[in-house]
Amino acid sequence: MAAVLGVVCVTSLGGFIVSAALSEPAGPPVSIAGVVSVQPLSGWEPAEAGVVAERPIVRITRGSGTLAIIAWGPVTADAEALAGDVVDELLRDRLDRLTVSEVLTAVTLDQGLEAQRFTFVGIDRISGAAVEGEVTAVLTPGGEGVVFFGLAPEGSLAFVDGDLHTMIAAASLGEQA
Amino acid sequence: MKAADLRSRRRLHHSAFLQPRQPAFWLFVLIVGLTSIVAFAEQSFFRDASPGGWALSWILLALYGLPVAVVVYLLDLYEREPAPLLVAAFIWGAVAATTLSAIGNAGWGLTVARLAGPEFAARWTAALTAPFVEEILKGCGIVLIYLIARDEVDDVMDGFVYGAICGLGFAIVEDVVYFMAVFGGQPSGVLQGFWVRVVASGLYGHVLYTGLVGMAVGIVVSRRSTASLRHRLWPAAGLSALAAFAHFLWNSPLLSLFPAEPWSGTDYLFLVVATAVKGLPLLAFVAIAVTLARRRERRWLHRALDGEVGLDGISQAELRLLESPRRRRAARGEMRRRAGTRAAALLHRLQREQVNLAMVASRVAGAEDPALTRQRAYCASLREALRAIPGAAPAAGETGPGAR
Repeated sequence: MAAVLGVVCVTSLGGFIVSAALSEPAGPPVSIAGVVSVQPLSGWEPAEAGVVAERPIVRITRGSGTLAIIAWGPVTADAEALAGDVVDELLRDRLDRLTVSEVLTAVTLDQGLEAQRFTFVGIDRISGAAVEGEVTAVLTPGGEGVVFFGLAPEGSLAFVDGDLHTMIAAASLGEQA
Repeated sequence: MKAADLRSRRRLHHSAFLQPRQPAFWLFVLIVGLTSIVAFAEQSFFRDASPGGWALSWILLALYGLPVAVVVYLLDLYEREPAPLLVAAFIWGAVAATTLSAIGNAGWGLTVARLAGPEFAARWTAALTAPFVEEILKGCGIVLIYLIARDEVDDVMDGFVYGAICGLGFAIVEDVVYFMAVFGGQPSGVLQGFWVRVVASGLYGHVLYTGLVGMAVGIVVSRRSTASLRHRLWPAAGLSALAAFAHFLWNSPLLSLFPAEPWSGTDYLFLVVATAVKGLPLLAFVAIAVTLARRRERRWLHRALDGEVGLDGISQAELRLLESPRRRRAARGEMRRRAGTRAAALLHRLQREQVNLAMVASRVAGAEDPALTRQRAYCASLREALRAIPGAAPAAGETGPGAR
């Protein structure tokens, strides 16, 4: 019986341990000049860049998981207010049945900047697919808003959030980007 | 009949699932309990997102799953598996294996992406992770069921039945997830998903893969007295490898004749052809394997009861009936017409106990073993009770001991 338990644990969780051991920066950084720069980890690659809600966006993808980074523009308030703007101006427009976590979590990035983080689930209005995501909102030292979107199919975000947090924490913001 | 006799009969052939003294039982309960939290949360989300689509998904999948479950159940010719254990196998597949597989596939998928890059991972991750992760995790459920009720997995066919039911549970929940998350979750998307994943390909998937894995478990655990471990492990490994390979082929881009999306008109018919190319060879193999396993069961029954013919438990004519499910059913139908439903039910019970007689005969050391004597006497008492029903008594020399 112990063998069965061992096999269940290795099969279910072993992949995360192996992938964590193989995790390392890979490829060139993905940047929005002068605002933000993110170094993809192995297994992630740059995807299509563009404009969302008239703001520049760059993406890094790993199959079902995506990290989208938006340069929000000048923000007069703080990261908490920026997080609220993201919900009102972006998420409500694009997702049906939107549910947002009630609590904002403060996180400190490697550069020492304090960000605010929340999670959400909803139905993509275009594809009809159920998605879940995590938003990390932060202001650069120059007062520019930067929003990191971690996105995955519903139920799958937990499988990529380790990589997402690592890449977001190591992001270069402001003049360092 | 004495209470002790009843208990021994129950132990003999209908092991309960609730066995608190078995550590495997608690491991099963723990894993299913933990994973059910995630599984129910996911289903709640789907239900809230699209109540109509979610309900339609379950209705359609019940229409598919029930007949499949009945067919699988009836494949076992003589010793039908106890319903509680089959329900446990289904729940393991539907709740524990699906939830753990989602975690395992994600973890090993990350590893594939890190090693080979995202582009390769996008094409090959499903083929390189799911066949191993999912078949192993479903197989663990079958092993746990064996550890909970060892007497119940005593043949290759038993393993197939538990495996196929476990695979059916997995397939149904996986299909709900696909209908809701991939096909959009609205009724039109659910119907499209039902066509693609059930009508076009419902014969080929997890029921067959896990049926083969179950057969492998059956070989390893049931032939201890007739084959060395090495001679059991090789065919078991072969069947498991075949299941994983078939799953790999299904998930891989190889032999992929699927029309490009979006589908319309004849594309839906061509989907049936495309899935058959990938799945039909495995279906044919499993059909042959199941036929061979059923023949093996028939031979086992004949060998086990050959020495019993003419004693109290079974006659030559009864054995001839017992060996053929078709003749058994015909005899019960004839009994119903001749003497009513009560007599037919009693004959059914006699036939079941004569199969149990075969099980006892194959397990005890000698012909005078008390358990064997008890079972013979029980069969004889059922026969006498049957004969006491007006119209049920057979023509002279037709049945009964001494009719060799």
